[in-house]
Amino acid sequence: MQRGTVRNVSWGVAALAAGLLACKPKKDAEPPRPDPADAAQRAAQAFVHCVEGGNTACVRTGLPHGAFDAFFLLGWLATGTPVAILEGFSRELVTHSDARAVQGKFVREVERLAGALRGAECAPVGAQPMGPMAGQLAKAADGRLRAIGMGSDDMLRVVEGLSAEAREGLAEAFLVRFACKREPYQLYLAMVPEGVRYSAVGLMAFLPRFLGGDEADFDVAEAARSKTLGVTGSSAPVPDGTVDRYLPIPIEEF
Amino acid sequence: MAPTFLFVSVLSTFLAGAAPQDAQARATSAGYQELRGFATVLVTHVNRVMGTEHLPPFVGLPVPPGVIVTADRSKVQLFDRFSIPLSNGVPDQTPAPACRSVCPKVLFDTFLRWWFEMGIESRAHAVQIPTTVLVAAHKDLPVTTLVEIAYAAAETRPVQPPNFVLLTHGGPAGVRGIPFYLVRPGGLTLPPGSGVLGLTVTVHADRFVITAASPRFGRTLTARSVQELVAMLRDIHRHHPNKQALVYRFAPEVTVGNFVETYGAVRDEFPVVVFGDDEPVQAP
Repeated sequence: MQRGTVRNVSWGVAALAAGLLACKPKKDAEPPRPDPADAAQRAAQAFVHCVEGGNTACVRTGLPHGAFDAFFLLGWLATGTPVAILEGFSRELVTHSDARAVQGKFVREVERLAGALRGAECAPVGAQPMGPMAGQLAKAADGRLRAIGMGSDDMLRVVEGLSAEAREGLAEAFLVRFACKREPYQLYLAMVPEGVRYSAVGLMAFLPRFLGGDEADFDVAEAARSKTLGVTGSSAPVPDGTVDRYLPIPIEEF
Repeated sequence: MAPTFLFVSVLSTFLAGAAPQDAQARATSAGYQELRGFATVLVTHVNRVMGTEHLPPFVGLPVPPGVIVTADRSKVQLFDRFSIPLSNGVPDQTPAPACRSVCPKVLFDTFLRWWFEMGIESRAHAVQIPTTVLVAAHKDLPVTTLVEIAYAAAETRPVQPPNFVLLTHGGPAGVRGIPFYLVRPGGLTLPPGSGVLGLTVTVHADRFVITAASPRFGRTLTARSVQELVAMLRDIHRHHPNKQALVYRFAPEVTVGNFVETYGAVRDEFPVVVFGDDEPVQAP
């Protein structure tokens, strides 16, 4: 019995030693690091699920929301309507200078889209690094403003400032594109690394074609009627005594 | 941190007005400065695309801010966002099924996408979807193309049709404009007893034909020159002094320049321009 017990113990020690040897990490085989673009897409998908679930705490604080806002404003300057930029840009800059207001904008946008996202069946279809995009966007905004007569020194300095802020804050970020079966049809989520994981700092419904946005990927006629995208509304009443909304002149003058 | 600090400094410079210190006042001050820049945007763009000297010559009204559409004989441009090719000033005539005025699909679809983008912009930046479309049309453009552009823009704008201004070259006065309206797509039937005359001038290369929707007008007049047209319209205006509007319809060979020349001659009596395309006007 005793000899048998000793033999069993010896086998056990040998097996334990073999097991320990097997578990010991090899010197030259490091664990594979996850592809950051994949990680960003997975985190973006988790964010969308969080929003779909009606969780109000999906947006994390203390992240470079301002950098995304700078990116977003550059996109506006590069592609927006001059009359709208002239009307709203200085107000947007005032908001931009207030970090809490910028984060509040993101929260409101998330809340606004939450209902629509629930049934939209959105899935991530790709991720682009945002650092190079910020540089491209700044260059496009600068060139366009000069070309259309809005390239004042002040405006170009603002572009420079927004560009520096976007490039710094989004250097390691990814823009994850979602395709959705129903409105909002497409969605772009900006994901920044926060330690080992990625977190959302902004979203947009539209990406300029020169940055890889696919403007032809959905039925614009259907999208134009979309409540989520905010382009519908009730018509203003036709003023009394005028012909109609196409011809709003006094009927007696016609 | 450095870029952020730099940007805050730049932002302060951008927003710094003469006196006001609170954020709202600074924004307002900066906003006014930038809105004044619209005239520069307009002239720069029109000069870059075709040259303001190619606009029809006429000292019209000052131009309000709006979205800018340019059209010469080779293309229509929706500011710097979209370009639509024209062949001798005419777009592909395949009609858009959703366009009630049977406007070309290529115009309808492109304007739809443009308004869609502006709708997104409006929501994203809390600005109004532009309410005015400024059309800078080359004086040699067929005026029927201008009318098709206007119908495509009107039928695709969300909420309600925009206001339109046809841009003109006002000499030393700079770029000026002629506001115009459209007959509702599908036609306009006015209620009995509304007192509407619905005076219409059909402009051909060699003549002008005057008709009216109201049966009480009861005649068709033909003028062989602008002078003759003016004389006839003065006479009509004498009998209908409260009428201000003329519906214009055009033969295909008539240009934007021809229209503006005609308008310049008749605007004292009939300052309000309504483009009709083929949309009927009925006043039983």
